[in-house]
Amino acid sequence: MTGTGYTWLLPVLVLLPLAGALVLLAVPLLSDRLAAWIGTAIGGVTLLLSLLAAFVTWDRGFGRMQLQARTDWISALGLEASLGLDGVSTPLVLLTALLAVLTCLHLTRAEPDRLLVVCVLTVTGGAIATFTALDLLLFFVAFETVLIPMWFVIGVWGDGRQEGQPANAAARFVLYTAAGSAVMLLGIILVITRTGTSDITELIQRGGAGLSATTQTVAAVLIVIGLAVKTPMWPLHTWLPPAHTIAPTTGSVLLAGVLLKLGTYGLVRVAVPILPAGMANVAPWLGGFAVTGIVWAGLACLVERDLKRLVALSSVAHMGFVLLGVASMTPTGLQGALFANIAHGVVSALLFFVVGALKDRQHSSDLQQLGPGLRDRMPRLGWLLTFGAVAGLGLPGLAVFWGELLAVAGAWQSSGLGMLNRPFAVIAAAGTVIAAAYWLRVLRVLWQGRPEPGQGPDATRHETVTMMPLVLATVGLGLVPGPLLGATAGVVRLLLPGGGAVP
Amino acid sequence: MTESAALLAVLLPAAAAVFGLLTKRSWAADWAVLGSAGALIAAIAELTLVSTDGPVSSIGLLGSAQLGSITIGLDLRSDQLSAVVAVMVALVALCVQIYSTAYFQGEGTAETPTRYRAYAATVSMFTAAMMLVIHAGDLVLLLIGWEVMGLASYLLVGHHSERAAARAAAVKAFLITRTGDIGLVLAVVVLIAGAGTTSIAELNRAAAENEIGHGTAVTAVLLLLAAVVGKSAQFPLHTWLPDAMEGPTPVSALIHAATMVVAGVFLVARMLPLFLTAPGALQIGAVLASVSMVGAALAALAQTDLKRLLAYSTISQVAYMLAAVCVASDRELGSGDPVGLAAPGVAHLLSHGAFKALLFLAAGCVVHIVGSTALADMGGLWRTHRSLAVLFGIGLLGLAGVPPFGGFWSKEAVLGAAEEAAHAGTWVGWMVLVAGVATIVLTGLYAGRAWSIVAMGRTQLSPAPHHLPAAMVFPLYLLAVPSVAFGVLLLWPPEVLHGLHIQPGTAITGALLAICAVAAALAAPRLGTADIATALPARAQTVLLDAFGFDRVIRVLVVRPVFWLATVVKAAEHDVIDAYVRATGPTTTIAGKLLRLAQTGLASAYAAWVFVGAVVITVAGMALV
Repeated sequence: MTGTGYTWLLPVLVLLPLAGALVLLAVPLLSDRLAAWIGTAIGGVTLLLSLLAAFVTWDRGFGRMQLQARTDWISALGLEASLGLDGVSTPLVLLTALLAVLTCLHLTRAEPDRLLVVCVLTVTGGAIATFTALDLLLFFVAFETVLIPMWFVIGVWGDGRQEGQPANAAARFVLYTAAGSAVMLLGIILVITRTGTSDITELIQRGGAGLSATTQTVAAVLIVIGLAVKTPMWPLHTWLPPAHTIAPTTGSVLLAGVLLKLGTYGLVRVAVPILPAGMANVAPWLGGFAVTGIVWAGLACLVERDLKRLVALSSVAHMGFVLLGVASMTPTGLQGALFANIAHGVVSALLFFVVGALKDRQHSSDLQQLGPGLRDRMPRLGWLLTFGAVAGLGLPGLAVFWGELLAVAGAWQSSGLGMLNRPFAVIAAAGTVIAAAYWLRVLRVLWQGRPEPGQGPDATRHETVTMMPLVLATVGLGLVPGPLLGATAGVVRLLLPGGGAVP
Repeated sequence: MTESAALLAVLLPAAAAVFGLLTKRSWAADWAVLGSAGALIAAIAELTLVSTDGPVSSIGLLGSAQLGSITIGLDLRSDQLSAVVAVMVALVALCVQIYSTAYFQGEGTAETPTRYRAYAATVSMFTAAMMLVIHAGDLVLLLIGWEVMGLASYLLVGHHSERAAARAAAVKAFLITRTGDIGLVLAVVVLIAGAGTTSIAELNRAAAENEIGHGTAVTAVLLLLAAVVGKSAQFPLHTWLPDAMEGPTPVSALIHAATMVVAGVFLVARMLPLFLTAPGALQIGAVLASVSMVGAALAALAQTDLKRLLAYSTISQVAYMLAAVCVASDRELGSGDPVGLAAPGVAHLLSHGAFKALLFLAAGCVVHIVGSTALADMGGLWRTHRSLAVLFGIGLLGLAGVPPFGGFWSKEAVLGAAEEAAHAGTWVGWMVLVAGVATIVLTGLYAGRAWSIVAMGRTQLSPAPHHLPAAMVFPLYLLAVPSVAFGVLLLWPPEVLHGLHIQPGTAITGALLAICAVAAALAAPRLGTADIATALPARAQTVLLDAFGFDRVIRVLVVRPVFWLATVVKAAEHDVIDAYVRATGPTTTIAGKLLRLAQTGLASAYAAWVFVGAVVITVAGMALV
């Protein structure tokens, strides 16, 4: 195949969910359930198209941008709408499309609402646009597009049993991330004005040439802070637990599976390759915050009483591994970060589906009220929870393990982290024991123990079908990591200064 | 052919686990038994093929993974070491699966469900994971099997999860072994960075040819040792094993005889060339093994629970294996032949597998009859169930190392290795030799004690004899064969056991000591005390029963500080980090109120501000230009 076919693919991938959202928004006659089915169909088509895109990209080589589509957008600003796909973005697009299908499918039975489907599709379109954008401003705009529907999801459909909580959590989410975005925008504008271009591929090719080390550092600090809020990085993470706790299942899944990925994607796509000298100065700090986050969030999970909050906090620990991998600035670490990113998306989405199902039955996500004895009371949900917990603690053979191993390996051999590389690696590895400790605590309180009679039904067929793809993905990625690692192996060298040679 | 046999040995139990869970409930037992039987056949085929056709270095399993500049091949390998251990693992697994079909009968009550289906599938998964460890050609693949085994042990130890003690023991088992497993993870990381490969064959080759930097080798070996100590339940990471007795008895047979604890020793044997590059680390291993050997034997002496007694005996016996491989660098043989150097440890691993599985399964029968695991409730087995008593006795004689039972030969091989090292003049050799001989006496004493309490003693049973199901008795006979006849194997040893040297001097001393110790314990009842442990001072009894109070030390030094720290973190999360976030709201309000003061509405005031602003800008401009 030559490089010219299929250029329609990426624009369609972005516009299809957005168009679907507009149509659903414009036709109020549709019943909520029908809307959810339409959403599932649109998500399904998106997933198929992204599979096609992934295939084509794989066929032509993940190392370079494929399927590029360009058109002038706002010529006065020199702004181009240009999209492209490579080994970094392809897995994320697939993950987003998969989660779009699953959340819409979830909405066909549980909490169906036409407008919620609109929000899901908007988030999907915005996220795919972010992952494929090849223009810094387009990246920023797409990044922000996702924010507003998410605000609605938390604020409108949030768990309203406590007065004012949804509004509070939603406001906190939107203000926190908007503040971060404002800082990031400053950094982006600095880069654009100093280099005179906003084309990401060109900026990556320059690799920081023409930018002084000071400028790079200032820009890197600004951009990293902005993205770190979204990731989230300790200590900028306190918006996440309330947002997750309040958000409906759909919201939590999208938040964990899609939104958190935007931040780390930005780090790998923008901060690392465009501002290498700046990142070299920022990396030790990033690594330090990452490691602190791993331990801190793990310890917080040990005494956390609310299951949803606990899963959210464990996300902070998982993203710590992603950040550590990025901070290592080595090919191995970056591969680990990208793998951990996908693995976390799959596993935490599964966990939020499970926790959501439990919460639907008990109308609470308090550990004491949910437990004990789930394995006897609701065997299927119990095993799904156990599976999620075991995956979450990074069991080798399941997805999360590879990301963590590679992030630690990257940190160990990193020269960018200086003297701290090995201490960071060891602390991060110790974090996996803390992860085991808090997950086993959850299982001990919830899954094991003597069941009390007369509580809710087990997972329905619909719920099982919704969660199964995630279970299979977790096992598949864990046992056969080759394809995903192969997708990123080549491209990370292009993103790192000097081809990522480790001295 | 060898490839298929090795693949089947790994995949059949794995498939049995999956299908056992997914198909009809009533088929669970069939899948479980078929899976392990298939694995046994595959392992025997593998052993035969490997012995004739030679080892196979690479069998594709999960493809390869490209990490940075290196490629990890997730492949299996097959040689005699893997095949021999695989046969033992599959045999024990098959016995455990057959035994369990009778051990877990019916659905149980709502209070205590048997959960047989989940149980059988987990045992199959456990077997598959151990097979993966044995056959792994790459350290990362080994790590997968290694930790899946940890998960399986967690699920099985906590199988009766309605009991608080079982829940606690399960968590403890997983967390302590995982703490050790960080060592394995970090060793992989170190080897990726320092040696550029994680292939076991490649690492062993590079180590033998001194291609791995000294720092890398020492760090990696020390880290691996941590994982070995955790998995093999050696001091100081041993406390999970006695508590793991909360699991169903057949599970104990599996964990203690064939999987889990022997995996650690297997890893050292497998990677001995790498370990030999860091003699210091091996010496540390030998010290830990010696401490575990004697300490656990002492603790076993005073246990009041049959299963816990056997658990401490496992720690002590596994320490023999570990010590045997750890003296390798000090033996005169030098670094010439790693297979021969590992042979004594591997031999004890195999013979221990047989007699320990026999002991646990027999103990399970005893518990089934008596309805309790406490030694105080047992007695008179010789009169009520003679054949069971004989089988139990065979296991105990193997454990004590009385000739001609299996344990004798392998234990003497271990002592022979230690003596060789001692003759070479190293303190490590002497230490292991002294510890080994002392432990022979202690082992004889507690084995004899167990016999005199369980088999002799007063009958506490109702006269109506309990009938044991055939499925529970048959495996005992199956395991008694290798327990008795292990010595025959040494007449025509497979290549992997060629390095065994049994020194007549140590052998005769050892045999005499073992016989005397057993006899002393057996004679004790005639001297007035049914239980020789009661001859110990009460203070010593408490200390030994408590295993030197090591659990409390861990609780004070690790568990409590971690939870204290967690509480602090939780408070800090709310009161420090989030305080800034919450403060932004009020701050903005106050700032707004302050700034509103400037909005007076008086034109003259605004004009004054404009003037001030102009002056500031002008001055600033002049200063900057």
